[in-house]
Amino acid sequence: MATTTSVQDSGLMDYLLPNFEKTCRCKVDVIAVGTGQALKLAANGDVDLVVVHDPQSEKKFVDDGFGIGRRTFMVNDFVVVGPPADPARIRGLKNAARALAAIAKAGAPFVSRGDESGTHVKEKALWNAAGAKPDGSWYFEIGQGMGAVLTMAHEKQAYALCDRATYLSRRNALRLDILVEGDPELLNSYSVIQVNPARFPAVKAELAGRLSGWFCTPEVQKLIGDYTVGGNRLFRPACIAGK
Amino acid sequence: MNLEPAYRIRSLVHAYHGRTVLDIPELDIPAGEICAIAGPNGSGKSTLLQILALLLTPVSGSVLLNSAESVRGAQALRLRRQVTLVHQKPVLFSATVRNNISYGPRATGRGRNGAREMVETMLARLELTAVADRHARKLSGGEAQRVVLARALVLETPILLLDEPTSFLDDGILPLVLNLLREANQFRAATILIATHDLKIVASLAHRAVRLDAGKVAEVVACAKSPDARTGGQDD
Amino acid sequence: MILTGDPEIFTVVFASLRFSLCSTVLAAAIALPAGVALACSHLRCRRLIEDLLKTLLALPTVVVGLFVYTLVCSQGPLGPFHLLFTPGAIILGQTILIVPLIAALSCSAVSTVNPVVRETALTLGASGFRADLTVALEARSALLMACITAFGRVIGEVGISLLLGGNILGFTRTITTAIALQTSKGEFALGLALGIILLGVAFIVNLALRLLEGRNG
Repeated sequence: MATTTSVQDSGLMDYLLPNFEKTCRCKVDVIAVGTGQALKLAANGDVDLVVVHDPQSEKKFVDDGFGIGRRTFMVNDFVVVGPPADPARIRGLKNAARALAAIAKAGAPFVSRGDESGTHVKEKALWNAAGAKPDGSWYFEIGQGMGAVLTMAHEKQAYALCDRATYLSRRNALRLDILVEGDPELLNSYSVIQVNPARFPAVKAELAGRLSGWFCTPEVQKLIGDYTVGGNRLFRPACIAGK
Repeated sequence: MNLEPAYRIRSLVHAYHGRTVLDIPELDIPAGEICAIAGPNGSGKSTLLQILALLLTPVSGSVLLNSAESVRGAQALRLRRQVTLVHQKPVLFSATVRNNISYGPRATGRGRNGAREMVETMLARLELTAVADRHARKLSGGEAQRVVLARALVLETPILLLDEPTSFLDDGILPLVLNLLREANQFRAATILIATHDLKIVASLAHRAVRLDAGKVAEVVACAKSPDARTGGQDD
Repeated sequence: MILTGDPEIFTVVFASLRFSLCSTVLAAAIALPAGVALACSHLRCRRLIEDLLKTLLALPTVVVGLFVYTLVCSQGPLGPFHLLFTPGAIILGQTILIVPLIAALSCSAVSTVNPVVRETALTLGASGFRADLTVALEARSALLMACITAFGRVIGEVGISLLLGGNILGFTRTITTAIALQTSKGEFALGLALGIILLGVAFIVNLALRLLEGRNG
């Protein structure tokens, strides 16, 4: 199974999957990469299913015939985190795009994943909406996962766009606060897609189908909702039959 | 001749890997003489020359050079600069002929300009002016040998030591070398020690011969050239 | 892509070259004199030091990167200098990596010079220090080879560049970190192009070493 680094970093899969492995008496190998590469791996038939959070790319993936059975099974949201000192003064803003515009205007340091991941795509959309160009010595595009972004933001006391789950799981070690949250634009939905067996006959379609369905069973949905790290819920169950 | 000997050797013992290489209780080398150190291979000739050049510290014993004992530091450097040793298998520096020959003058603080005249004279004397700017590795065998000698002689040190010069000199160059040594001895009273087993050299050049055998002095003889043996006439 | 002169490739290649040259020069300034001095010394513990150097040669880059990370991160002793995720940190890490390499190679190079060279220098009136310098000069070709070898080591390393540089576009992104990044993004073409350039650099380095070796031996 290919998934994104933010999903892996939250620890959810390590928590859930042993339950599935017991019932199916099989093993699930999780490969964590950026959304872009996860979908590329799936498009090459190198994995049996993917869990990603980029609806646009997902739809294209299915439309191109690489995936079937897309199911959105959980959501969480992004937050804008930053130094407690908040030089760009965005704390409490309800509009993420406006917050980014303020950061750009102030030239305050901002760390970006720069790896075409779901988070990065969302970030780019926000810059677009803000009408600001993330360009200059204050913008650090590092091409790595969420964990690395947070580490660098902590070291440089910079802003970053982060999914709540990863932030909460590392909050104790970071000197960064949540400054902007709750904007509907910051919602992040996770879907599981099976790799099309018609395209890649070697794919373990049966097991993949079972795992995909398993995410939406009431027990697992409850587990997802109850999953906490450091006393914080990271995801909300959201099973709707996908298109 | 000087009254002070060039070398006063007392109780000299040197050992190497537990084997005694030199054992000389007493030996004086008079100044201003050409002295041959003869003996078979392994008799300690090279080791003796290295000790006399102050390049090697003997296990025990004392070597007084012009009545001064070698100690550490500036005094040792000053004494060492009174002797020049030409090795049995000499090595030229990886540089031009001129830079090889000027090494000594430069190393002893004469500076580029001060050295220039000395070097040019020596280049001419050994017919090396034509190849003065050629790199050492591009020299013919004979040219390289002459550079070795020029490099040693340019300093005009009071004492000159040569370790088996015939082992690296071609027969054709030998007469030139012997002449140069003779000149150095006659015109500036250089003390010259030559380790050799070539009797021709001993006969044509040496005033004295010291024969070494297994690290010990077997005998010291005055040769036909020796002022002691001379009856007042001039050399041929 | 290389031929069309993609600007990102150029920034990344120049960054790699800049960092590696800086660290090679810095390391040489420290390690060449050290290696030469060690070879010319008569220390009793010399063998011990040489063995220590040889052990340090096998240090993986990530270990050096981790070590320097603990020094320069905000909690570390060098934290106030804010070196982490800057070229300075990369150069620091790379320098530490190759100092043992240059020291070991230069010590070895000077040791193989004919001992008659030092004696000749001494008998021609050189002081001990000057004689050592002359010996080192005789080995200059091998000393240069040591530096070139060290350069080859750092230009292709990724552990230090990634851990200490953070792969920041236009700032600390090097050929190797860019290759690591591009493959995880799924873009193989850029990664391959950079890989080819890196191979080219390695080839030139080896060519230089081969030429020097020919002139040496």
